[in-house]
Amino acid sequence: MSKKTYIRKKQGVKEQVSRVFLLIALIVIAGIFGVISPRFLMLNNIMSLLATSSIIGVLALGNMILMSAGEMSFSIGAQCTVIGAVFGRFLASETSNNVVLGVILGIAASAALGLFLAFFTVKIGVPTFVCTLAVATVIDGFTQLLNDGTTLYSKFWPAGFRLMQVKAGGLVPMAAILFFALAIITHMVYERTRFGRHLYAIGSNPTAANNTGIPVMKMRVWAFVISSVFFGMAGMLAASYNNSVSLTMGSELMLPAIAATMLSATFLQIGKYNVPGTVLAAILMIVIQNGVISAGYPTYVKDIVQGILLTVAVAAIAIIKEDGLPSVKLDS
Amino acid sequence: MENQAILRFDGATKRFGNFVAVDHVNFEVHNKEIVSIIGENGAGKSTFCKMLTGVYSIDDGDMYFEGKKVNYKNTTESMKAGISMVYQERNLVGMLTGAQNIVLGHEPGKRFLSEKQAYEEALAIRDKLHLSIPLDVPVDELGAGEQQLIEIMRAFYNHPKVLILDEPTASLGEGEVEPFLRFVKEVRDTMDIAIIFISHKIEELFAISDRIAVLTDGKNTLTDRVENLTQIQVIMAMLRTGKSYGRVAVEEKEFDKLPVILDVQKAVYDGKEHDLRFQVRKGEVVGFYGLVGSGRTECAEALFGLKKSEKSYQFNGETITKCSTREMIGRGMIMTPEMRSNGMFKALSLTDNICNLFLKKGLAGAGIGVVNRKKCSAFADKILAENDVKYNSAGQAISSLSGGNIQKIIIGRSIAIENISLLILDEPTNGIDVGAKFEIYQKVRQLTDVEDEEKRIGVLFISSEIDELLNVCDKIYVFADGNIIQGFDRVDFDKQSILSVAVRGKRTNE
Repeated sequence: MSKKTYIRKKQGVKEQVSRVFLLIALIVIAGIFGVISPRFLMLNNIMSLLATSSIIGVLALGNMILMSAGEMSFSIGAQCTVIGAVFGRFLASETSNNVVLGVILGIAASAALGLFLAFFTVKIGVPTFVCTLAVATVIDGFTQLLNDGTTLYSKFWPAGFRLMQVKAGGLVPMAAILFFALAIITHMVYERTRFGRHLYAIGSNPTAANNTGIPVMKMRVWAFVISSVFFGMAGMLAASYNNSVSLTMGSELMLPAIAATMLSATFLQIGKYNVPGTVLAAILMIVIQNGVISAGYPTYVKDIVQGILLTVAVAAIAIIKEDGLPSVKLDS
Repeated sequence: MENQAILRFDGATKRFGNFVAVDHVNFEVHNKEIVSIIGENGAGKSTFCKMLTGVYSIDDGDMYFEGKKVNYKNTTESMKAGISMVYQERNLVGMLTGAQNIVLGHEPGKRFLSEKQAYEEALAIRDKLHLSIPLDVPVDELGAGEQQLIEIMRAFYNHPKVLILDEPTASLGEGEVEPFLRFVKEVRDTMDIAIIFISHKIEELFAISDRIAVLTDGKNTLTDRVENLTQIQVIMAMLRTGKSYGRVAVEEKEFDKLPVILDVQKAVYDGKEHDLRFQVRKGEVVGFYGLVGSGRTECAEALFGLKKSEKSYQFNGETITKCSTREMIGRGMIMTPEMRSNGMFKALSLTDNICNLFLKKGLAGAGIGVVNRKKCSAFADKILAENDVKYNSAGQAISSLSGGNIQKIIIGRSIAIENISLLILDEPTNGIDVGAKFEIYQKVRQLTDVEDEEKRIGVLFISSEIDELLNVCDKIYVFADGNIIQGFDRVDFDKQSILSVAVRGKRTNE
């Protein structure tokens, strides 16, 4: 056996190009918008792009954690909004103006939501797709309750509430800093820790994970809890950055965020959800949105471009990866 | 073996409901010894191994590891003790590298993973085993044989004292088997380890084992040192005692004079050319026998259009090279699937399950096809009555019936196809009780022996139970490694030679 040479499967040009497809798309699309309206590529606008993409980005990171573990949630938008509302509601009264306490409350509430979902899906065995769809409706109801059925805004919100709008050094928005910090931590967890490796393993091949002694159920619960905390953080980030909590704040972002996660699997390591890809894709989503608006096109153009991009990307994955992705298996 | 057994099982028993999968098996394995377990499909080999590793709980009997009585509750416990198993199915995470897969679940490093240490440890195992597979590329990019070796390296990561290899050669190509066997022997000779080798290829076992244990219907029918055994002895021990089904009546015919329905030579699928020389004639029941993975189902699926393949065969005089299931049903061929669940619409009623196959013919109108419920219900009642299905109402969900009755419906509706000329049954008696099995044998014979010769059809009967094939078939073809190795006419039926062809993959010497 020792003398045998092994044959590495050929990697064609097709695969090499599609590895960086996402980056090429970002550069090309940003370039086009830059030509159409020169203001688009100015430093100020780029910073505001990064700040805006941070909300989708944090949502997408949370979603990536869930999807890499083999689950797919339809409640990420609802969770984002309701935690934003909890955060905003808590700080809306004259007497409670401790932002740190508000953040802790928001994180605790989102972790509780994650546990709740994990109980129904992991413990009871409701398919995640169905369960999260049902729970999203319940959560939306609570958001309406917290918001009094309208957009939440309070004049009692302390200055710290708007922290995410602050620009560090007068240039870099705090929102973008938070986003990149979370991205780096998530990346480190996935690439450098046992925990991240096991999360990926249970989504990719649960049987193999079980056979090697990885506690699959426990890891799935963790995936739910941690991803929910990310959705909650995205909600608080959005509340702070927008200085309001609208009822559709999260639901508008859900599909672009899921799209960003899926697009990440086309970047560098094809077929594997990864953080650099997610960050890039989240920015790309916002570039399209912002570019379309600043070029004066109607907003539906944004939807069309984003949709085409996602379709092309997932088709590329389907062609290259025969067995699909964790949580979107092409072959059950 | 003068030393004490490293692993010993006294009276191992595992029941699933009333079914005894492993029946009071005594077993032991010593250090530096390879013990093989051989048995037919469903003889209890895999169940037995899963008892060793703690996947299944032990219903009866005692297990001793290094002289101490143990009872593992899960694989984590057994692995910790030093029992490693390499599973039959692939168990790697494709995007991770070989080294990452080897340490999976037990990654080195305190707070952060140490890729370097993982790689070095994997490398050390690789060197110890004298292998040269790259460990720094995603395992997706490796071939089947290399992936198999990665899994074995993984098994060595926990410093096992007992290594269980479940059908390790099943996924290997022709040139890979022999070096692999040599490798396993080398491991035995150079390391302190006991190896349990599971296979149903008898020649492999004789080449590699120190001792061979035979499992038949969950019972240990033979265990001895390999030098005391002959292949024939082992095959004899593998033969089941034969549950009494009752013999069905088989009409003798001169098949040479009957028209040929299906005539196949060869086909290419799964990346290989398969030698499939066989014919089915009108009024003939042809059996396909073979062990798991021998390619019986794949062959039938290729013919029926379920599997992509390059082929050219004759069906009722027509040469068929490309086909879909829809076209083949139109031509009069239908296959009932091995998994009964793939043959029914679980939540739908008996009527719907029967009529779905016929909605384009008469039971529904033209165009979008408005379903004629009255006709459907009459048609379903007729099928249910003709096939002696026991049911309460035709509106009940099909999943509420017993396996035998579901099978009767699936077969019943299949043979109701107007121009049916060939029925392919894939493991039709799987998991149904003896009485229902017998009814299916009778039904099959009735299809081929019916008095009106015009109405006779051909049946292809795929089964893992030799006894039922010997009972109902006019001819049996034996599969091994994807090819038809030999065919037996009813007059030459002999259990021992059929089984021996299947396990040896070679023709019997005439």
